[in-house]
Amino acid sequence: MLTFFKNNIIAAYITDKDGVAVEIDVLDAAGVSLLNGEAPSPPVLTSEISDVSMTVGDPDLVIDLSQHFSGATSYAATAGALASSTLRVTADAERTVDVKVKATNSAGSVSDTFSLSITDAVTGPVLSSETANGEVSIVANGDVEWTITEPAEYEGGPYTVDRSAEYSGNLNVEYTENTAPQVIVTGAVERVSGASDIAGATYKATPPLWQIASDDVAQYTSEWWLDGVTTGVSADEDYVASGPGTVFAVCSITIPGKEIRHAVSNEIAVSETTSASRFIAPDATKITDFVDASGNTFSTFGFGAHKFEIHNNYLRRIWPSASWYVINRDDVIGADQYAEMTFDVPSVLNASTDWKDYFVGPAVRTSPSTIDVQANPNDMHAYAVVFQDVNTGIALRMIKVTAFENTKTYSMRLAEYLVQAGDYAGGQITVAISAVGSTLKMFVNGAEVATAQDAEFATGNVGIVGQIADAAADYKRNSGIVSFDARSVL
Amino acid sequence: MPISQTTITGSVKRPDGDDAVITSVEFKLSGSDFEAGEIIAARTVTAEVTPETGDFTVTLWPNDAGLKGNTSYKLDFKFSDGSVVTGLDKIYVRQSDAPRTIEEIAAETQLQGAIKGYSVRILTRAQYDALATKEAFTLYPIKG
Repeated sequence: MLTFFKNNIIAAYITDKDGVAVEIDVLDAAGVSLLNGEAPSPPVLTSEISDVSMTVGDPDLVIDLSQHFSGATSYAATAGALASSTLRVTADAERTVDVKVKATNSAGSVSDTFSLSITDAVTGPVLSSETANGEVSIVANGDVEWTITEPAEYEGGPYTVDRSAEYSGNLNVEYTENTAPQVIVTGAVERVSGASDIAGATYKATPPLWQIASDDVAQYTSEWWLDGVTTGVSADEDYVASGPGTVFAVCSITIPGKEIRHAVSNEIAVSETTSASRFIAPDATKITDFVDASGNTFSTFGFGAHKFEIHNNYLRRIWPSASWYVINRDDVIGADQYAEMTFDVPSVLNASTDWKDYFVGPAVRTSPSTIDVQANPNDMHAYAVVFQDVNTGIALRMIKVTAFENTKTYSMRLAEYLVQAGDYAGGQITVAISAVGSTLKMFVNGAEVATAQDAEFATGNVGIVGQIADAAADYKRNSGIVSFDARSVL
Repeated sequence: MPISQTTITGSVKRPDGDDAVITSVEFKLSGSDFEAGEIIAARTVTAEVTPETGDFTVTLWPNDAGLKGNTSYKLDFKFSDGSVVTGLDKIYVRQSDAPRTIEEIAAETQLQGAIKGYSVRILTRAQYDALATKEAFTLYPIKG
């Protein structure tokens, strides 16, 4: 056979499993080529193996040694697993070692050494995917940077979250807006589930248009102006202009240290002595109205006694000072009415706190808009749909609320529908009430779920009704209001 | 249906170097096989010989063309003095358009047995370069 090769064969190729051919030499027992008669030479290092840095848990790294050596018939390495001409490195444990690879043939060997550095897996925080409601789950401890979708009302962004101070157990989340307008918010992130401020906790970011911290005090100021000059007369009081000129009232809400986010003013030219009523500009526009994105208007009396938070132009949280309150929308849309509110539902509903001691819901045929939310006036009334208990689910109740003798309030349950909280956890729920004639109906996500008959209140406005059932409860909770809408029922 | 054919040439000499005066060279197929709808029967094919020089030429059905592909040939040489020489067997003939030498085929057969898991195809450089695809796990010695 040797003679046959010497006399007849001038080259040889061998293929792998894929049919890829490499040229080989054929040597006799002395290492002399049968193809060209030359004595063998040691393998050659054609390119150095680069140092390797890996993290524990990384996929295996496979180094093709044939790309670094030529002429080798076998290999040896001080680390890793050799298979034919490949070296497999597994990042199974933290270590830093020099790995020597030796390539050998019958004529000798050549070596190359590279550094293998395997570091421990990163123990920093990992955020799960942000949900549609801006919720994230913290699945590991450490500092995090979290970019959230910026509200359309903001001109810049994004926000970043530094949770580095959280692990002592106190919720201390700061948002820093990267670009103007600079707003620092503390406590605007609410933990909605999770055992503690560590891995497993879920946080919900509600970047508000107007960001109010739990210890902030919103200061309401108002003043009548005449011909561009302050009068010193509070717009809370009736004002009689001293003579012809332009009268206007400016009302604004300020929070010390924060930018004014909401201010309204109205002006009217008067040619003679003109009077304007409390909170009503000379053109009859209520100057303290909130305006939501859909153009609906909520009337209130005095910001000082009540705190409001606006989220994406929607009323988000209400911090009333009275146990029962009614917020009416000004416009009268007929006697047959429909009102609905959409709420964010926590991912994990806490039966002892969420929506139990503080609840709110859409209302129809409410008492006139002059009713103040600060007290229980004699003629306050409404039909409403509210959440009242969550011991086994969400008890959605249609109620009739009546106040009398200026101090007493009673509510009567007209119908009840038990919502399984798990069906909506982490999502949203829309509840609604309609009044047509004496027929009242309750809706969940557009589906009628209960009906009742009551003819006591035949007319009224649409609005929002709420109650602080427990005076000791944290009524500053975020009740998750996403939107309010109402219409007449034709 | 026509079946594949490969032409094989060879020459027989005596151990003393003289040309062997042969009367026939017979190739006996070790078993039956199939190709192109035909049964290739395990029969003997006799080569054309030139008695004075010991040269022979034979056209055989190549073993690797078979459905089973596991047959081979056994050679018998008959000399002018009436003697018969046997012993060359398990000769595995591959398909080839060009004539091949019996030595080349024998070398292929031996190499294939020596390199486990690999096939062996001895080709010219032109034949090798003309291959559209190379077979997996195959040694290609190139003859010059």
